[in-house]
Amino acid sequence: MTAAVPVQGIREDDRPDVVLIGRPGDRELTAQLVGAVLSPPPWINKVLLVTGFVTLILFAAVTYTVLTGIGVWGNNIPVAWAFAITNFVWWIGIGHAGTFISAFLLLLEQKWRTSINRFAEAMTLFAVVQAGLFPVLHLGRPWFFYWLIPYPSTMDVWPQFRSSLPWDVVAVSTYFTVSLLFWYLGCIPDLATVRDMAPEKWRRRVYGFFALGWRGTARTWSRYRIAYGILGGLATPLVISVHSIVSMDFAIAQLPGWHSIIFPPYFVAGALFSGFAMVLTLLIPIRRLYRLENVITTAHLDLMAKMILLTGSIVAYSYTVEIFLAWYSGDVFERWMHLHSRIQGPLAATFWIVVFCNVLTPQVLWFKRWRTSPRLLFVVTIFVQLGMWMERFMLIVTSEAQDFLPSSWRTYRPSAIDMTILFGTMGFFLFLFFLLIKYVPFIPIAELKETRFKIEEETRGGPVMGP
Amino acid sequence: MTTSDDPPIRARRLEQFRPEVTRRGFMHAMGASFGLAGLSACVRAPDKEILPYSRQPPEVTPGVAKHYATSMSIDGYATGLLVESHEGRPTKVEGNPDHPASLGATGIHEQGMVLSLYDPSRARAVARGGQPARWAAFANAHATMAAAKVHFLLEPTSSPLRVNLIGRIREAIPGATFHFHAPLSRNRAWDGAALAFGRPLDVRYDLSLAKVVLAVDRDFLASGPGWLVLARQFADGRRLLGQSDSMNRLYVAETALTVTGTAADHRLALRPSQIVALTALLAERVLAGQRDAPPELLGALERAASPAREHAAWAAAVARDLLANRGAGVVTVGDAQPPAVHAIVHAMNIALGNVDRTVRYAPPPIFEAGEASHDLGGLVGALAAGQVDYLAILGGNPVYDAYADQDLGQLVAKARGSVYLGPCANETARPVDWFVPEAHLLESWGDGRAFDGTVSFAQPLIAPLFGGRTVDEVLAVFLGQGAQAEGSHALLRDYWRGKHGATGFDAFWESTVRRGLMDRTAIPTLEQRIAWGRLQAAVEKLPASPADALEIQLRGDPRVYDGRFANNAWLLELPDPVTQLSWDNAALLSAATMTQLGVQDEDVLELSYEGRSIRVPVLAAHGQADGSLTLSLGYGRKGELAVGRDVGVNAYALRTSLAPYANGRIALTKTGEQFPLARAQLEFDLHGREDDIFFHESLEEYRKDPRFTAHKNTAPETLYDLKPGAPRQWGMSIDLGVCTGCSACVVACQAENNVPVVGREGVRKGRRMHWLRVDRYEAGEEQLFAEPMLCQHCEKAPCEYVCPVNATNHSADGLNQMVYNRCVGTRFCSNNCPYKVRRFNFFNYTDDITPLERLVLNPDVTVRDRGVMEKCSYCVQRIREAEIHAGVEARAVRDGDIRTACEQACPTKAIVFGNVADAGAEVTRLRHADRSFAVLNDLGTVPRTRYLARIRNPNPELAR
Repeated sequence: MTAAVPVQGIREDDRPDVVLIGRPGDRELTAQLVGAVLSPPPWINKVLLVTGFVTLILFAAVTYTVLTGIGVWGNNIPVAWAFAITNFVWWIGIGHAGTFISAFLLLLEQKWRTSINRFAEAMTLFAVVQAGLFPVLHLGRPWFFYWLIPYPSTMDVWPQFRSSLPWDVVAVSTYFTVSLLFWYLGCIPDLATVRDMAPEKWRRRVYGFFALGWRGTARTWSRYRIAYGILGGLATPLVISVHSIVSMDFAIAQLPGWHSIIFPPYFVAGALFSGFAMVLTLLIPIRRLYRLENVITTAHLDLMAKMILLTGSIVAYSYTVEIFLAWYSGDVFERWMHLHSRIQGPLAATFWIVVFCNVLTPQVLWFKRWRTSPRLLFVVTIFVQLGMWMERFMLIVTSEAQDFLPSSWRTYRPSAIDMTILFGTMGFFLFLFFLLIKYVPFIPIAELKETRFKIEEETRGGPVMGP
Repeated sequence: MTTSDDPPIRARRLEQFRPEVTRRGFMHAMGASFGLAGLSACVRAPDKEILPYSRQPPEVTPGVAKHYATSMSIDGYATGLLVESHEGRPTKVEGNPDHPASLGATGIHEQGMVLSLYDPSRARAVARGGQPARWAAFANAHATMAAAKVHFLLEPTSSPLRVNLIGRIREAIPGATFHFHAPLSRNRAWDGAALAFGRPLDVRYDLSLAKVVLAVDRDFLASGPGWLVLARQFADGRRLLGQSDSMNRLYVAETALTVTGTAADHRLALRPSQIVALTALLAERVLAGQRDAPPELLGALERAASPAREHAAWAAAVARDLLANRGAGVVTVGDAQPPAVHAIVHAMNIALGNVDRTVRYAPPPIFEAGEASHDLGGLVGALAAGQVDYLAILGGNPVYDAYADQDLGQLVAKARGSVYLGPCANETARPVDWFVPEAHLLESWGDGRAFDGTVSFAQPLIAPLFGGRTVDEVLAVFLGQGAQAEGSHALLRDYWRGKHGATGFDAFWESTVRRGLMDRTAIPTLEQRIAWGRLQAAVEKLPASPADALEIQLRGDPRVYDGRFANNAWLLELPDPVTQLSWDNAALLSAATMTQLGVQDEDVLELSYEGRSIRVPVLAAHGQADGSLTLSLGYGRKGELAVGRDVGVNAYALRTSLAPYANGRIALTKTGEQFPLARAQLEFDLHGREDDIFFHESLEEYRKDPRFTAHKNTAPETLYDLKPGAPRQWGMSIDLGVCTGCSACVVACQAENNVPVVGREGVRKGRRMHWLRVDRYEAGEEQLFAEPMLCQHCEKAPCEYVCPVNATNHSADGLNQMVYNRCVGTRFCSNNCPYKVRRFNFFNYTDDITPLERLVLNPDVTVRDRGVMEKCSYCVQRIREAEIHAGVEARAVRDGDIRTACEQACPTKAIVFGNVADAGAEVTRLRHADRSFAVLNDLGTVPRTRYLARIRNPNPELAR
């Protein structure tokens, strides 16, 4: 009953178009996947301890910031936004791949999404939790964050809807809510499975509570499918809208380097780019540690690598268009920003890191051999995430640092608190993620069985009854 | 020994008497405290009747706050002020429009002075040997000194009262000797006049008639006696209202770039030794045709001029221009130049026929100017010889700022007794026996004379906060009048009653105190004849060839002056008007010299001379003469200073009596260390953005095409209907042609609007809070343009539409408003402000200021909390006040009723504020003038603040 239950039919040279290896029976699948929850590997507690400690450091840094003022960060005038907003855009971008996999691909009836969708969706949730910290924390007076929410104030004042920031609040909170519901709904049948299989009473109670009395009748299954489809339909446009709105935080400003009409698609592509990278970064070690090569196959890696290549190409194209249009516009400020400041300015290193990580590195994925090599893929995804963080940092900070009046030009240096908060959110993210791994079946058991059934149907050319 | 009451000691003393705290006792105390808290504002009123400045001229903003006339003297020269008082609490200084040395304008020191009143470092009690003592004890101990050899060390003074007291002391104490000391004294100028004319004289200029001005090492647009008037006259001589207007031309030769240098049409950067030579070269050309000038003089000048031969073409062109404008030129020279150079310049002015037209001579208002009493050498000799029974240092800080080779700090102890009247436990307070806290100007009665001799009165706005005494009161102690007399008020009144006579004295007194000055008391000018022979002898004694070594120039600092303002946070935070360096001083070097020495910005150099050395960081300075290093005096203060202690480096350590201003023999060593400097502006290059940011043109081109700005500055097309919502629409015009960048507006704005100070670290991190800053831009080798930058109050403001909570929005009368209470601090507005004039409260900057410092806050302006954005409001409190006032009088607001703080302080009237919907308003006229442009016009922000292009008037002969 451990994760290392041997499953028949796994071979290293599996064909990469196979999304489920072997034909494990329902019982086998259930045993393998519930086993990860009922008897988690011992190392996970150590991981939780370390990431939990990092989370505490994060909370300490946040408390210090709120009590003292954001002067403890490196921000200045002109660089009024820096790490906080960079981190926000980066984390929220990471979330996008999760929704893309669980909702977009659901509507497109892509079978390969099944084994990774819960995993990806949970990643979305936890990334949005990290992202959500920053817009509140970066405020001068965070205790008044609710003024950005359109609530019926007794003073009759409303947010200012011409600004993109109230839209941001709506977009991000909607996104979080829909993602949470969608993810939770998907979990219910599996939580019920754990409830039914758990030997301990407390587990049966806790999982029973969260399983909402799931019985698995045909009627509940039918309702469940409808609800899941609706939520999938709701979540799909959010993949596009959320990051489009986030990009408006910059595009509506007139700062050279921000004021650009290509930002919405460019940001969405960038979000998916970093999101798929994050899915892979998490998936590759987990797949190995839990011996899940039969359900998360080389085909999954290959398909996601292709997505990285595609979105990466869009991102690279956007860079080119931005620079070309800056030159073509003849505008002295745009030209300075794109042809001098970013490329040769005091923060030019960030630009070249971006080019290396986001444009050059993904080029290795043109080759199938490398797309299907977990180790290489892991390295590439790390580079992509570094590159995407740097891209946001470059977009935000270089534009602010050298804008219209040279007299106010000034560069930016992060403070120790800035770094603590950035790495703290990574710890917090991993902490939440490993909590999920420990307590929730992170591969959808019911859906996987269904997929297996469908595959068998297809291969045999007709309906099949049970194993 | 410490002389003020040491806080820890006092705390311990209080501890002994502290009763047990009981609940009842606590409630009693708290109840009483709350009850009495409201009264605290009433108790500091001066105990003598002071008289409000009631006959307010039209340009003074009337309001609830009262204005009182007073005057402030620096090195003895008085400037008339009006001080705004809120319920007995002075908060803001303006110039007295009636006063000949102010004309309504002020500089940074006048503006910053009010902060020093509430300086927490001020001494709180009379002390003897470090122990608190009573004033009466001091007075009794010093009443009988008639037999002693008492030496008095004062700052130079023009005060009629003080002169009278000095005379009486000399009678009462036959052994009394008076010395006058100022580190930036005018001795060399007076000696120069004595050389030329046989007696020390002050020069008075009339720049309004001048067509050509040559300033040799003379920063007349930002310092020196009567500079506010000179700046006004100079600006009036180049304020272009139309194509046909004439314009004066300014030539400057100097070492470090000064405010005057940045205003120049032609500037020559020279090492200190070359300046002497250049003056000789110019004089040689100018005097060549002079009948009276002996030929031997020309020969001597030629020899003295040899090190400046490389600038012969420049000198020839300038001389030709001066000669072509006989009687309409001015040659002026700085106090740091040797007496012979002053004398040469006098000869030039005479030869050019400028005397009695643009240049006049008059006896200085300063008591015993040019006499031996102004040389500290006499006192130093007496102290060293042990001939001093008693030393009374009244004002100043001579132990800090005397020449290093005189070592006054050691010598003071040789006096058998000593007293120091000073503002705080500073360097001079350390070695003396008695310490008396000095009353701040705004706590004092007194008088003084302006640069032209006009008698000016000083009246207190507030009773002494810490029992401070004036110099006159301490002098009276030596006359045996200290303990029983009524202090400076009685002294002043008695003296003037004696001068005026008892009949009608009350009316005379009242009107003088009310207006702050006495009419018809200017010192008349005198005709002078130059002594050519003496001049020739002096020129021949000029050092022939300069050292090849790096020359070091020591100068008074534009911000802290001689060090007296070194504990003033406003002035320390103010970026240097030229280098934009805030807080510390630095060794200014040209880029070429830095390469030669192999140093970079912020590298620390060790400068040593005669066994004393200092370590000072390097800063590249635009316009600095190659081969020269300029270092400001006045920093590196010691003593109990809350703000200024150890800010910068004390350059007095290198200053000796033989080389007070320039020295070619100072050894330089690199230390390999770095010191982070707080630079308020890092980029000075315009990056080819002239047509977006700073229009400038030569006079010739401007005359060909007066509307040259309009071609590139047309209002962009808009889909929006910009119909004004109210009959009054506020706007501003700033004339870059006359703005010198002196930065008086910056401090005025800080004082008016409760702008917090962020400190060296804050400035270094780019978090300065100034609502109004003065940007500097390089254009070529010679020019460094100044551009005051404040909220432009854009009609289509980019900040407004990005604020998520509507905290910044537009008023019906065209103000871009900031609602602090609504601001959540997203800073999106700052990101989207192309002018970057919005300031963010990264911390709570007013949290840690003491209750005393709080008194300086303007009650009409909100003190901002942390986390909110702030920016220029066009002094909205003044607008609303004037509107209410006009409403009460049932009339419209008139043009000129409202003057923003920056406008009011501006010495050159470069800033004009008003109602742009009023076709007759001056601001409307200026905004439609042909040089008008909007900064970053093409962004379509439609700013309400418009600028007038800077027009230069280069000499065609030199313009290549």
